[in-house]
Amino acid sequence: MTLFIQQCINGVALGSSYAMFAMGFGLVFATMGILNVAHGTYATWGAIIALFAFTNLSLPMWGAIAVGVVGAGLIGVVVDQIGFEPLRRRGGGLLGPIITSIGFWIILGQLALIATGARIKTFPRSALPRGFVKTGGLVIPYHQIITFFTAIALLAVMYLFVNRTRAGAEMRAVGWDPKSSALSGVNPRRVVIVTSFLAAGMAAVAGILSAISTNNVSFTLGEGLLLKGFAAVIVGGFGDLRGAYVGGLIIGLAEILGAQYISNSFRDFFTFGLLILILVVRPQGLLGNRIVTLRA
Amino acid sequence: MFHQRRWFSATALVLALTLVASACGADDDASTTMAETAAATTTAATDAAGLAPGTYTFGFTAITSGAVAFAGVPHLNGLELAEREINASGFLGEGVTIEFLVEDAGGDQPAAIAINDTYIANDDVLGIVCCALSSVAGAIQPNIVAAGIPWVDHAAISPTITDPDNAFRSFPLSQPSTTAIATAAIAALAPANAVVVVTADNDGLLSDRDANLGALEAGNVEVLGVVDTFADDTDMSGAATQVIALGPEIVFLAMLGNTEVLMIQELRDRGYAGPIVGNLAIATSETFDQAGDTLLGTILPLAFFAGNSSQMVKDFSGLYEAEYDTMPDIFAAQGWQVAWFMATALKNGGEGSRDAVLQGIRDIDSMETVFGNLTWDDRGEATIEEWTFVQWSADGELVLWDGTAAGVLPNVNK
Repeated sequence: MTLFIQQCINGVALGSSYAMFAMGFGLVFATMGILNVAHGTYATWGAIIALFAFTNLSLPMWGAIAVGVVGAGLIGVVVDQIGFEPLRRRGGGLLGPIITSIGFWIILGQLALIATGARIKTFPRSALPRGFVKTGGLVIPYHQIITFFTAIALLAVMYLFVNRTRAGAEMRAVGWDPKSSALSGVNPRRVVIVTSFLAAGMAAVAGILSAISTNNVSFTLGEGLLLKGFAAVIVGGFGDLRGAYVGGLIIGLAEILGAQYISNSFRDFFTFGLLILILVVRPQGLLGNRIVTLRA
Repeated sequence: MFHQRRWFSATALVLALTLVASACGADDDASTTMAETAAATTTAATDAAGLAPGTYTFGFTAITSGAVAFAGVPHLNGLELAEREINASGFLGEGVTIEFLVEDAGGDQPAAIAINDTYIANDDVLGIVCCALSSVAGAIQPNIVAAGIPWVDHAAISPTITDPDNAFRSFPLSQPSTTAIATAAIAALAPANAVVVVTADNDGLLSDRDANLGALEAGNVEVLGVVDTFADDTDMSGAATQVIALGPEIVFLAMLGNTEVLMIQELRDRGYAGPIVGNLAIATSETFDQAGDTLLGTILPLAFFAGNSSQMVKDFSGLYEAEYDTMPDIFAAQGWQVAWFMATALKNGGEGSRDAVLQGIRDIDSMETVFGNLTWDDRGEATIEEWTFVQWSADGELVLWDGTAAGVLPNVNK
């Protein structure tokens, strides 16, 4: 029983990373209708910028994380304005933005490779939360606790933002129908910029926490989050932040428990098998609507 | 007085020349040692007349950009350092120098094929040195085999590279080290049971897993389980929990460097106190930067260790550090070794032709190198006489493991 609970804790912590990533991923799709495969690079760049701020600018860890999140957010805005905005003006469908996002994925990935020199970079170990809570035979590292509560906090903040603020209402309006929202006085471009920033920022939080947990900042950091984050959005439902969160937890638990109790070798089979099962049984996801809208 | 001045001037000149000569000689001690050792300890069939004066050219396909540049840059550093030392020492004879043409393929297979094709087409190129990646080696292999040009692999670990016709390896593969350290660890630590963790989507590491399992079976150690992980894994919490739940007295890791570091961190962070047997992938300085004192209590095998007491290693390390302001690692040693290997083959062959170099390579049965004494079999594979077992110290330095249970440094949970 202890082993089962321990692995559930591991699954929830891992899933929290996926959830943070997925929330941003889903936010972009729900608001702008874009499947941005470059989203993983925001996680990578958030970690790289945070590391740079910590080691080269001598900022405290919390300051470095903030700089990393803001930096990645700005990258997200730049990518959107350069890559996706021109397509939106021309009324492009789903394919054009996907191809554009692939291009940015490659470009940002190569830049990350250059920035890191293709070597693994590390934070000074003294700066990292290296300890754990031991209780009832369970071992819970501090970084897992931090990741879990950060994901919950992020969900709560975003829920309140989307559901209780004017900006959030505008976001939902644009996600429903940009033209109608413009007629109602909403500035769709401003909404898109804010959404891009927030989504990239959330990915950066996931990337930075992943980097801190493993003390590993590499140019491929975001790659590991991309597929699983996408799967989390599918499972949880596009357009629903709560769904992305729940989907992330489910993916994380499936991965860890599948490896423990079924097979290590086939754990991705079970993870993505779950994805396919959800698509077949409930295509809109666990908490999604049939019509994709932005709801928190 | 005039004659005295002349006498004083002549004496001063002689003294000055003597001082200059002795200073130059001191600087050349290291390269002289290596040149002498290389000449004395290879099985050679050197033509009495030696090589004709001139420059003899080889092609080197480098990886100085891209994801594997961390290995490719020291490869090139070691190679170029050796090139300079070979020429400065006069190892090849009076007026004879060796030259390596260098092109960067960045680990890209089509680029590597194109580069090697230009080497093949260049009649001045007597042989090719490549590769750092097994995938690249496989890509260039057909054209090289068809051309019959001598090819020496300096770093790729695919076992299918060597061919007695024209493909050889200048360094020892690491797979035998797995058996060596597993056997030594079992003998020293006498565990009752063990767990093996493997990167299951890597052929070479699957072979290492099998080597570990073979050693465990031979040592009558119960295998509690084999835990599969994958090259792209970034979270080892679940796998580490599985390992600890099995309750092993010792853990063997057959993993890629990054995932192996993560696994060691997770095992120690979750309270595992037993010894861990790793591999050379965690022998880089970045490993300690990342994992710190969680590495204590992990032993690993190395073919090259800069802290080795061998004079050849000391000389190489001194030269390398003076040139590049850092100690050489296994990759630098591989670059250094292949340059000396090619020079020896050239000298053995006695003339500047591909056939002569090919025969010169075949004539190398053994060689004293920075890896120790290497011998070559009929397939062109190098075998090392003795592996070095090391472990990380709390100071972030690799130190020797003396092969005893007491010699394993206590880890953070002990």
